[in-house]
Amino acid sequence: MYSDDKDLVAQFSAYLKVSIKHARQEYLVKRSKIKSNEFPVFEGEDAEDEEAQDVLRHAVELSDRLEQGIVEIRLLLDQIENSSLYHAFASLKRQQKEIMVLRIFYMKSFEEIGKMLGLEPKKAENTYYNAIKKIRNMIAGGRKNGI
Amino acid sequence: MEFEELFLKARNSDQKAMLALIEMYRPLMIKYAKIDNVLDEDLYQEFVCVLILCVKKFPYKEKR
Repeated sequence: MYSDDKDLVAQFSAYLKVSIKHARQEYLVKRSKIKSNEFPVFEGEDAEDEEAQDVLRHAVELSDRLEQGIVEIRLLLDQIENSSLYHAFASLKRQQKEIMVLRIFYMKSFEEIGKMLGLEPKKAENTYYNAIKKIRNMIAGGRKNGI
Repeated sequence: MEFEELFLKARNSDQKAMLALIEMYRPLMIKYAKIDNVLDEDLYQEFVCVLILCVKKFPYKEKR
């Protein structure tokens, strides 16, 4: 049936590749489900009593860390409940994610984002809209494939 | 050793042949096991399982 060894290698490789892609997809869906069911654990039990103060402290902490160049991408990821949106967002490049988080979560202007990441404001803006476009396409593509 | 021979041996549960196949496809599996450029060990292990299943299930007919 196989004219030579190469045919078999090619066919088996293609077969394996498709299986691996399926497995990857399943794994990512499973992982995002587990992640979405996890709750953040607060240190100290007085968190409930001083909720307002805690939120404030948290915000200050965040902005401090932001100044040190740490962008909390996880914070935005934790708020996403839709699994296809989660995948789409998770598959973005790191810089795209950072810009999205800075824009949406920290409500920074493109100029500020540019300064923080060492980019031109225009470049930051373009990256942001490209990322949104990519997410839209991925969600639309996912629906087409019945996910 | 030719691929076909290796493949048939692995299919007949020859451990060494199976390991050779896993070794052969390691780069492919590593490529797909990366999430955000970080290798996910669990995902890689899943792929090894998938590879073993694929070797068993691949619709292959022997030459006559």
